[in-house]
Amino acid sequence: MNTPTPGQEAEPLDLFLHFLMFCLIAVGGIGTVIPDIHRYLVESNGWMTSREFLDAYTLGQVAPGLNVMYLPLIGWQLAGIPGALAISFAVMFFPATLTMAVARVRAIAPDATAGRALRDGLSPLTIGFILSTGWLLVNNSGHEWRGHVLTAIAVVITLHSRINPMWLMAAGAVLGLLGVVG
Amino acid sequence: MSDIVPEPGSSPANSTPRSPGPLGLFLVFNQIALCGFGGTLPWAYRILVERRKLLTQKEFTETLALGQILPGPNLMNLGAMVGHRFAGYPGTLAALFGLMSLPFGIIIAIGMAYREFGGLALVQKALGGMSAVAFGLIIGTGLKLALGLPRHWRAISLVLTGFIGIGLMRWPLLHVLAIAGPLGVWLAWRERR
Repeated sequence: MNTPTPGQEAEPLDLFLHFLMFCLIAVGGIGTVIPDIHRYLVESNGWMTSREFLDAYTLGQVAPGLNVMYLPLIGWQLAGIPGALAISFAVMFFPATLTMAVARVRAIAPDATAGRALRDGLSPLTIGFILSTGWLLVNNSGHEWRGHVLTAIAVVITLHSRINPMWLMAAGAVLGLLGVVG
Repeated sequence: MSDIVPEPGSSPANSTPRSPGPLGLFLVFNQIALCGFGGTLPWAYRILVERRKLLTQKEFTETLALGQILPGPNLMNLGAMVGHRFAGYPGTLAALFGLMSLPFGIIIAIGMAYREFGGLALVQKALGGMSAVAFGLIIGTGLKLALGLPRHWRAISLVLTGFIGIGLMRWPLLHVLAIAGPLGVWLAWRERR
C-alpha cells in the first residue's frame, strides 16, 4: 500500500483505486477491512480524526440502505460529490463485473467441493477479521468504562435475541443523550 | 449448486417466476435498501423470497453464500446475480443502482446535517451512545458467527489467527489474508476429501 505524504488532499481517483483494493481483499464483507480503511484515512493520511471516522461509521449504520453507506459519506466529507461517487463506484465495481463472471463459470462447471473448501477455509478467518474490527472500533472510541458497558450489553443482546438493531441504536442514542456514555 | 444463476430465460417457465424487468428490479432493490434500517439482509429475504417469490429459500441461501466469498458487499453481489438472472446485464445494473441511488442521496443529506450540527454537545452525546451500540452489534455478530462454526482446531485457530493478526498485531489485511487464506482453504479442502 503506498502512503502519500500527510497533508495531501484526497483525490477522487485515488479514493476510487484505494477502495477498489479494499473491496477486492474484503472477503466476507466490507466489515472485515475496516481496520485497513481506518489506517488509510486516519493514520496514513490524516484526512479525518478517529472520532470523525467513528461518527461516519455510526451514521452509516442508522441511515437506510446497505450498511456500507458510510463509505460514500466519507467520500463526500473528503472530496465532495466526486469523492462520494468515486467510492460508490468502487464499492459497486466487483458486484457489477466479477460476480456474474463467477456465477456463469459456476453454472457451466459447478465444482461444489472447491467452492465449499473456499468458504469453509476463509469464513473462520473472516470472523476473526470482524472481531478485530469491533476491537479496533472500541479501542479508538475514546469511550469511558460506561460506554464499554453499553457495548457489552449490546453484544449480549445481539447474541441472545433477534431484535431489530435499530431499537438498540435508538436506545443507545437516548442513553447517550442522558450522558451515560460520558 | 449448478442452478444458482442460469442463463436468463433458460429455465422452464413454470419453475422461474416472470422477470420483473430492469425497472421492476430497480424498484424491488430500492425497496429492500430503504426498508433496511438496521440490516438489509432480513428484508432482502422477506421481499425476494416471501413477497415477490423471485427466489426460493434454497436459491436465496446459495446465491448469498456465493456472494459472501466474492469481493464487494454481500448483498450487492446477491443483487447483481439476481438482476442478471432475470434481465441480463441491464438487470444487474438496475439492481445495483436500486440498492445505491436513494440511500446515496439520504446519506449525503445526513452528512450535510452532520457538518452543520455534528459539533453540538447533544449530537456528540447521542452519537457516542449509538456508536457504543454499533460496536456491540459488530462484536455480537462476529461472536454469533464464531459460535456457529464447528468446534474444531482448524476453525478455532483460524479465527484466532484473524483476530490476533489484524486486531492485536495490526498487520495489513492483505498480508494476513495472503498467508492464512490459502492455508485455511487447503486445510478445509484436505478435510473434505
